[in-house]
Amino acid sequence: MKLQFLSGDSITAIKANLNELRTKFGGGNEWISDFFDGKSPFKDTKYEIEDFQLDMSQKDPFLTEYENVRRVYTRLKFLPDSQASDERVWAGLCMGPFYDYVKYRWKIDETSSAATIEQHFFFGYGARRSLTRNALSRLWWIGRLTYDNEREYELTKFVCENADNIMHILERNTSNNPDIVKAFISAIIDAKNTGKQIDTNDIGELSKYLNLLGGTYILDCLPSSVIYDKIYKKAIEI
Amino acid sequence: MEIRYKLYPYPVLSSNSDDYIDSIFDSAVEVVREGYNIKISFVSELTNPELEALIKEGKAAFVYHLECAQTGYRTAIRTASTDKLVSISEDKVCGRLQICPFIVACADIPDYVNSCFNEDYRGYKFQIEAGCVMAVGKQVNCDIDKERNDLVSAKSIFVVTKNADTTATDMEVDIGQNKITIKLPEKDHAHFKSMSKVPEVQQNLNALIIIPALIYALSEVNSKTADERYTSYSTYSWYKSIKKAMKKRFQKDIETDDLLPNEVVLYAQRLIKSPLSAALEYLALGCPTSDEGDDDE
Repeated sequence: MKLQFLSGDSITAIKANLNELRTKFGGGNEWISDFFDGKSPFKDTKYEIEDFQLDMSQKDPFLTEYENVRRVYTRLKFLPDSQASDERVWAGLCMGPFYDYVKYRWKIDETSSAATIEQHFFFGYGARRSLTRNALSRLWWIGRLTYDNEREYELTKFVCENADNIMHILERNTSNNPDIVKAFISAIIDAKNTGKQIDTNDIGELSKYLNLLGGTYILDCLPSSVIYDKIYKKAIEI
Repeated sequence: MEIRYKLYPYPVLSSNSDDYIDSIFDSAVEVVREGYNIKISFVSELTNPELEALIKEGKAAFVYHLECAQTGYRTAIRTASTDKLVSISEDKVCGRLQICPFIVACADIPDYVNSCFNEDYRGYKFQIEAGCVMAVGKQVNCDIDKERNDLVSAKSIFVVTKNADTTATDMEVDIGQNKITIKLPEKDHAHFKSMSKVPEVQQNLNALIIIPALIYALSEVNSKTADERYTSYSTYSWYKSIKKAMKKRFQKDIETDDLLPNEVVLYAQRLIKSPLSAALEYLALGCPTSDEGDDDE
């Protein structure tokens, strides 16, 4: 299938009317073409992609996160970062082929607020935070920031064990540098492998510690091994 | 990364602090597009003998930290030279690119002292670790626009859509998105759509719909402080386009200049080439079609 996007003006028109349109998200997406007077607001990109489905088999939708990160990132890895941060691409997928998935994953029905719909179907926050809140871009960016050529999806699996991990690890400014993120996660995994108990609160503390380090050091100038060592040491200490 | 004034556990050279005397660290950054790349030139000025020596010895370096909040692109460019030119692919950035200049320790510097320390620090030695910030320059923000078409075109900054609230009877304007959104009641929107492709009525539509929306947008901007204007609107396309057009055509900076209430009305008209006269003339002549005009000739 051709990867499609939703035009910027169509996104603007839907967002401007979300308070009135929100109840329509309880059903299928046929209303979209009605809203645009029978014209499709979807447009083709130049990319041809293999048709694929997302996993919606679990009662707790979060349990599908890891599998769906793999499915989305593996198939859309070719997107450059600038296109992968373009609301039009993700809104196109959320309002088009993966409309039912967004509803399933974020439990959206006719009672959902306009703000909830906006943040999961579109970009509802600032540019960076929206990437991990939009239902589809979230899956791609978790893959982008945690996939490692050597360890493949090992770091991804760890991050997807708990929704708080995603917030603590991927929604901080330092997470914009995959080398820092990978060093951080690798250190925690290795500390855990020594038998050390590390829960999500500890990961929150370690994230704060990384932030603190970022106040004194320019982390991007430090070798990954130095960041790894500092986090590993702290993880063993706490 | 945003450079904020903060305290370090050791002296840091910065225009925001007096940790050092008789010393300067300042950088000029220029960003230009070249094909599908973005070229950035950095020129730094450093006046401090000890820091200069540390850079020469490779124990410290000029570091330019680049970060694009929208794409998540983040990198640090390290150099020992006061001049540096880099080229990055435009695929990596979109929207605002933050550039922060620093001098950073590249190796551990035990017992660091500097003859230009403020006298409060005289006699103290500091343990500086690799990666520590030693000087902070002024942050530069660049807006990288991917749109290659003319953003100053007034039409491109508006979206006219129908109001999904079927009980609505009036036009509504929203400036909280990338484009100024004008919501019309369903019936009015249908009329608008049917006329929007008719060249003869464009000036009337502009006078009726676009000018009030523009007056609203300019009034809202005008009611804010310069800082609020920057934080609230500077990432929106409509704001960038109006800012550019106002500067180019009227030498007014809407980010810093305040407009008088009557100027808001005036500039809203002039930005879209004052359509009122043509609109009234069209009505006064009984709404002639272009066919009728051709016949007259």
